[in-house]
Amino acid sequence: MPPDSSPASSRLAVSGGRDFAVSGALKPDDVQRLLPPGLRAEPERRTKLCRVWLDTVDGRLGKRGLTLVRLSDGAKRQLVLDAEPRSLVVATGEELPRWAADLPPAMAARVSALMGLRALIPMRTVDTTAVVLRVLDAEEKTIGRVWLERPPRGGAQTVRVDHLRGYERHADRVAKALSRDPRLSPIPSLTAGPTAGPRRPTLTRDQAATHAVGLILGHLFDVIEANIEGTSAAIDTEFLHDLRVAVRRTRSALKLTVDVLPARFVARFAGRARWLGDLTTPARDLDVMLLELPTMQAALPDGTGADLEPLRDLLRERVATEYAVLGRGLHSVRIRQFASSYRAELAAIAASPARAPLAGDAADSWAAAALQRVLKRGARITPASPPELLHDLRKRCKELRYCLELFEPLWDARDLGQVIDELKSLQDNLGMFQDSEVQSEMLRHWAEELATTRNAPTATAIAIGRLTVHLEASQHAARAEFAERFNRFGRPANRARFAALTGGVR
Amino acid sequence: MKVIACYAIKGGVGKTSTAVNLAYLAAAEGQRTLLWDLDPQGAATFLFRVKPKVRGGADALVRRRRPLADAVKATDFEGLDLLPADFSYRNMDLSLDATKSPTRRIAALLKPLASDYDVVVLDCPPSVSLLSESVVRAADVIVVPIVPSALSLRTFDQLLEHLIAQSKAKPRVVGFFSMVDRRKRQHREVVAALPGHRAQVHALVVPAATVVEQMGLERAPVAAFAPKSEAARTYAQLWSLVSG
Repeated sequence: MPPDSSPASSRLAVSGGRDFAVSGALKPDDVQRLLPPGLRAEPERRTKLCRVWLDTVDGRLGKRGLTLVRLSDGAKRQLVLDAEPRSLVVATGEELPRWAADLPPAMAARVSALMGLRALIPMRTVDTTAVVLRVLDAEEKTIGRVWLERPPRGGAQTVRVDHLRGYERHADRVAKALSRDPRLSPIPSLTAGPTAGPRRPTLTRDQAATHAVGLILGHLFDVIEANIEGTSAAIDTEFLHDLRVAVRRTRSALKLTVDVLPARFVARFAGRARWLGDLTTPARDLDVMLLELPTMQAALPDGTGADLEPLRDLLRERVATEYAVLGRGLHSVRIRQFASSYRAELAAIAASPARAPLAGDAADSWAAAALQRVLKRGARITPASPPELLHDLRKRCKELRYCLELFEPLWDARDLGQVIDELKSLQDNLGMFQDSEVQSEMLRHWAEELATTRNAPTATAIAIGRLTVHLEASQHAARAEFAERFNRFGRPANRARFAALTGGVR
Repeated sequence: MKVIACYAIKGGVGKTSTAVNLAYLAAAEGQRTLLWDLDPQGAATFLFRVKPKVRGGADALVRRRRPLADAVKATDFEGLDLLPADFSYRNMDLSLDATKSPTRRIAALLKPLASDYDVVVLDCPPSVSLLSESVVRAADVIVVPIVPSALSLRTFDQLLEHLIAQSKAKPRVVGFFSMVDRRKRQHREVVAALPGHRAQVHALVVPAATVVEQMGLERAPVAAFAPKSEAARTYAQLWSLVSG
């Protein structure tokens, strides 16, 4: 993370004050000269400041207008959460907070729901040196502070007039007096640091479908690459999750849009995308188990949740190993070759002459075809059908969902939202059915491993047994509810809504 | 938010000097600190060059007609704010008495400041009163300056009895020696003996030194203008004891 020296980023990480950018240099004597009569500026100290803007990698705090900064002033460290109606400032230690739980309670309360499973990472670092002047009134009382700041290796100077509690009007007078100097121009108060993440491509209905698909595949690969480092460093589980979603979407996109892509391209990269997905599966399965463990513990009778601790220890050990394997895979020659050849082919697709069909028409027919597959396969399922048919239907639903989301800009947002909500309800049911089965199988596997290699207590085996019973009950409940959910999804009104979305293509 | 009360039944034992220096040291460490000068004499307020005036007086604060936060003033020192004294504080017992739970009132008034400050230091007037009961109830730590004398042990025990009788919260008590004149044999003997008799009394000695008296002239804590003095060093030790 390189230090940043842009003037706009040099603002103090506290609210209640005025900031100015300086063209040229403002010296302490200049401040004295500009002050109103009766006030005097006196150098108080020099200091080195370092601000580290913290956010989740996808900028969840910034998107909600929250700015979290760790401010180091000499040996002092403060965490500043700049938020309406007022900022929170709390003394902190050397270590940067990573999780919401690492933050002081008042800050954690504001951000933990927003952060979810994401970790805080340093988004930007700004180092400056500051001359601090205190502004004294006729009775020698400090009524304000002026900070003259400059990045150590040159760069634009900034000036801040700090509000002191109980003397806000005085500080405003000082700021007003300083603002008369033509070298000073006001800059907005602290704003969010940059939010990372690849930007979605612009799609229109009248562009060539091949070009639109090329842009989507390029964007998905951007997302994959943007999550490789975070996954390798195991910063949080969402990096791997996002990487896998991008891979699955890529695979679905290659399958759905095969009629507008060069056959050689699809044949070559569908297999590589599958390989990449498979590479990430063991680590993700363990992540999911670990994330589910607190819920599983809560589902056990009072006081027996702790019986699963040996399982947690084993999973933690294994997840570390799997992440190490995954990290090596993600930095392998194979990945690099995949990336370079894939990018080159995508560039060739982008440069190819535009030809029919248009993106809008093609997306309509892809979505309609995906819907038909869902309806057809769902209709085959009876209470006696094997689980595999439901698993297959879940995959078809995912394909439909990805299709709708990938080409989202081509459709009316409100209609699309309604269609997706209906689909989600069916997906939730199928997800509950399959996840319960997968978790049951995994628990059985880990129970055996615990018994054979760890000599785990009998209580752990009993707890796992209870959980599998619980999961089987959930699976049965989902199965019993499937017909109602599917019929609801397939009802004429929903099909009509779908047809309206895709311009009548069925 | 940690609440530290500087309290003694007797006057003129160095409570204000202690409160001012502890508050300064807390702020210097990066803790957001508020010093509430509860003594109507307003010595701490004078020391920080703030006008001893609170709009609406004690009654407005105690009866919540005015939030405490509205009356807060920044001091000359970064991170250290002051809730000034007001002459009306002499009637604070009357205002407290008119409330429903007078002994819980100070804690209740401080509660909204919990997200603004890490440390609150209360500079209490010397008395056994409703105010002192309410302060004791609000405090996590009670810092007691002790001037060595033949009656020190008895006075300290009286104070402990008062604290134990009044507070359900059972704050930690930290006693130390203040205004010690080592030329006086009695001072030397009490300083040597008392910590052995009472676990709450620590062998920390703030001397009766000119530098402490100079605080009024410098309008600053000793720790700020004479950080290497014996008094400043003792206050630093006291702060690490209190903050630990």
